[in-house]
Amino acid sequence: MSTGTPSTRESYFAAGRDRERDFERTWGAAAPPLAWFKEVNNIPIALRYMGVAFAFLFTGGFMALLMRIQLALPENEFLDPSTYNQLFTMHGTTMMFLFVIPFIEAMANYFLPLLLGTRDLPFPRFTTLAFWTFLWGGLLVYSSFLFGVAPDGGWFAYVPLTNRTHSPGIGMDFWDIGLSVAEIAAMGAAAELIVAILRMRAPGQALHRLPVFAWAMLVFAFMVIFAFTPLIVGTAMLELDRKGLTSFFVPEAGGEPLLWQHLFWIFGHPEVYIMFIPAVGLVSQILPVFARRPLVGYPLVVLSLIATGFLSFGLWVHHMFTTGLSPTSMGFFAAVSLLIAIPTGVQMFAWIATIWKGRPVWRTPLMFIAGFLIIFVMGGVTGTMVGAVPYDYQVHDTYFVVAHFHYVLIGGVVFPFFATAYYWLPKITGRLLSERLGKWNFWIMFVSFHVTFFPMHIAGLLGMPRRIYTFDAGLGWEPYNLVSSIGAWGFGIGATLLLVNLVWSLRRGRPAGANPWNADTLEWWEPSPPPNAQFMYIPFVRSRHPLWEQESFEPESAEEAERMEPMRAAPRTWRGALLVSALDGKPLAVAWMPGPTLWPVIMSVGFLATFVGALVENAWIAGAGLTVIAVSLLGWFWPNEGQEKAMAEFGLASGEGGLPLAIAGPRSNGYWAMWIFLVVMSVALATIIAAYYYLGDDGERLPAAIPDTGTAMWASVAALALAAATYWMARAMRRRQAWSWRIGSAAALVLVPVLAWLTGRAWTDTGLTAVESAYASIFVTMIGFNWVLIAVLLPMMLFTLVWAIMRPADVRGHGLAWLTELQGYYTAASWLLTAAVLYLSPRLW
Amino acid sequence: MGRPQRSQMGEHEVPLPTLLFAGFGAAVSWGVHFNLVYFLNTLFCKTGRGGGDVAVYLVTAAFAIVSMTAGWVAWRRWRMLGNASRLDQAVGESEGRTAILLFIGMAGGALFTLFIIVEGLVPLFLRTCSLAS
Repeated sequence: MSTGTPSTRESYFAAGRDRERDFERTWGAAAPPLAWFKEVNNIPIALRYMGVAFAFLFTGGFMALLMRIQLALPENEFLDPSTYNQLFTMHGTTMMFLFVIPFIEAMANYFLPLLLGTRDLPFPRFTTLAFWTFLWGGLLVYSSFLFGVAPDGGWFAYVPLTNRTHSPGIGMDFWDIGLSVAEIAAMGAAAELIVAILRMRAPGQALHRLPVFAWAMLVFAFMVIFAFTPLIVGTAMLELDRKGLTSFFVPEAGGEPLLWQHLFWIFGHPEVYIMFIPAVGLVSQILPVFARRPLVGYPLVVLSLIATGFLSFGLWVHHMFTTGLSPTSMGFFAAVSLLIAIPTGVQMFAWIATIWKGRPVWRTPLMFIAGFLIIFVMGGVTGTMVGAVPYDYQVHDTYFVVAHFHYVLIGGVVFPFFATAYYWLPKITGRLLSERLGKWNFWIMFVSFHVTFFPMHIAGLLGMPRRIYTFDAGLGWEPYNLVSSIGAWGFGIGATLLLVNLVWSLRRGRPAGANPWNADTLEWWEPSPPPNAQFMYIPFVRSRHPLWEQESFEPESAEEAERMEPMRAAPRTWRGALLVSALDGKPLAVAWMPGPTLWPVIMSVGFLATFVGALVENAWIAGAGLTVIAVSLLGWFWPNEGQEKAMAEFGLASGEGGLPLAIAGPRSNGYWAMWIFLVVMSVALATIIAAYYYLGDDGERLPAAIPDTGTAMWASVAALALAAATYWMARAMRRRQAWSWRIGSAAALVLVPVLAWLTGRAWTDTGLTAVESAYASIFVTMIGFNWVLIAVLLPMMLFTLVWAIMRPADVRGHGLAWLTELQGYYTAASWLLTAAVLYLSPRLW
Repeated sequence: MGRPQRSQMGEHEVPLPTLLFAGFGAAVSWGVHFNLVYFLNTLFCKTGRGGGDVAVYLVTAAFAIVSMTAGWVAWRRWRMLGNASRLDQAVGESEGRTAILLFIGMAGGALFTLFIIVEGLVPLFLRTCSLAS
């Protein structure tokens, strides 16, 4: 296993050239043919991710400029109303879904492993799948322009405007389905970030030494999981309504258009903070470097990140103050809308204090951060204004709101992104950017930003409504709109200077060196640009500011050195990464990491085909897509040589002082990912249950005849039996009792289709068709949700049985059995909860 | 829960469930409280029953107590940490991560209890239901 433990501290970073060469070859770029498609390493994938997201930024920005030309003058005919509607829909959609979130995740994909001192993200194939899926989703939405059917119902897609009657054609279907693809990619990436931050760090990087950006991304990832899931449920409901299969939002059938607003904004408002929180992390990371001192109030900033994450889920109704809610309900949400200023204020004062107590060096990144502080505070002040119900009544749906959220989003997100670009691009390219051009870039953007958006406050207060394609002369709005339009072009030119600077730096920029800013965090410990094989020698962290405060990154004791020996420029023939304890950052195990493969890109094409099939209502295309996905899954999980090498090399039990290989059970990354998947499904189920009660909350839309419990009772018995068989299967696997494991798996495998059949009967017994009423729609959706769980469980149980029969001693089969166990219990519990809601609760109502 | 003993540096073991409750109990209490009062208020208004404000007060009292308890547990444990509670010192892995989670819990306990109480007082100043309902 090892080539000798270093006996002295000096030898930790010198494992021998042969070993280093093997390590570099193992982690090197994918080999031809199709190398570009096979790549799974986080660095090249993140670069592509960033490039595509940036392309969407400039596309979305260009749309904004076209809209500003149209609004520069009253009664202008530069754009027709339909095109204008398409542009403002796609501008918002692009910026929210195709630029900000993917760009944040791309940055995290690139820099988190570097900041955490690890070699890759936990699921490299999944990173790759997320990238390709995002790309296809974005292109799918944009392809609607080619067919002249771009979505035009707004990025919020309110019903009834976006139902089949008022938005005929497939424009909004593009929006619905394309975004679902992109959202799934975002959620997958978020799950990966959670596992990475909690499990894959340098030894010694306990929670109190975690960089603020890592804390921010942890909060961000949890927020994505909790916020995007209701949106996916909502968009699925909207699409089903549009296809004429359900009636969730159809008032004539007992549906409720306001349900869409709830589902959308319970995503939509946290989304603002989902974008802002990573920016907080970036600012907290960059500002101390240029203030030349540690961040003031690190624990308070971490607390404020967590508090903001929680509070952001208590704000959504402030987008709905004018929809006729009760005063008390509005009071709850108005209170939170104002109270969230407290944690945000803590962050602001921490940053100001850091500059105040430091010795600031006014380089371009710090200037963008100063711009952020000024603009975001202004946006925050107008935010508290619109959080107050009486004021909101006055300015709702006016340009005042447009001005407010651009101050928040451009000030709070885009300026920190530009600061980050100037800060981190030298790490990516290995070249410094021009300071002079950077300062021009900042000042043009800062000034033109205010020229663009400040007049919108006044136009809004004068009554100019948002989402209008033109306005009449003589209303007093002309000068403000003209100034805004001039400013917008200035802003566009200013933003483009970053690209100019990048090109200049690639051709003429000075070499950056490893740490051009004298920064404190681990990414600057690696060369610029970092190699794919990052952290050949994993550093030991003993400080929150390792590059400022640590003299040595080597193990301090012989025990530490011996424990890390298998990771010193190793493993040599397969990719391995260190797993640590979530709280302490203590080395626990080694994870096997996959190398280059085509399966992620193939699977992403399967997703694309499936969604295109749904879009054009062609079952053949959708079926082909599903087949590709199934085949890809098989190829993905097929036992491979790398795993076998890892198992042979490491063994599965911890040797004396050594590290075990974590493939199965609670120490493996897969097990953690499975828990996150179950959290996602729980949020989805909670959303559907909330929709059920919302649709029935006036006591009239619930079923006239409460469904008979007969079949549902038998289905519940089957669910309990499934849970028992799953328990038996898993216990036998853990006790290495092969025959019991096989019998348990077989029993559970039989019970899965039984449960599917009985739940299906529970529906058919009612005689309901999903489209006949909102109640029928939600009833069938709840049953359908359980079928999704069953559809996931069935192949898992089948392959668990195959492992149990073919290779009962193989730990990879045990790994699958651990995951199947969780899915088995969850499927059973989900049905019991569904039955309680559908059959029991109406009797208690 | 027994009284925790003041221990030497390096021996600040706080059981994980206690640590999680102390660190995040207040925040979770706020989340549950917020959704519950919104749900109860809507339910009482839609069904036309009186007493919605009383339900909000009761729920608020219960969750404020839970939130305060989480903050208090965090404070009590944090005091036991002694020097390790000063996060700017080069404290070890287990003391440091315990200290930051307890600090978050302590300050978060105060913050979220305040939020729960402020939101719970809303029915004192506003009609529980709109005139139409």
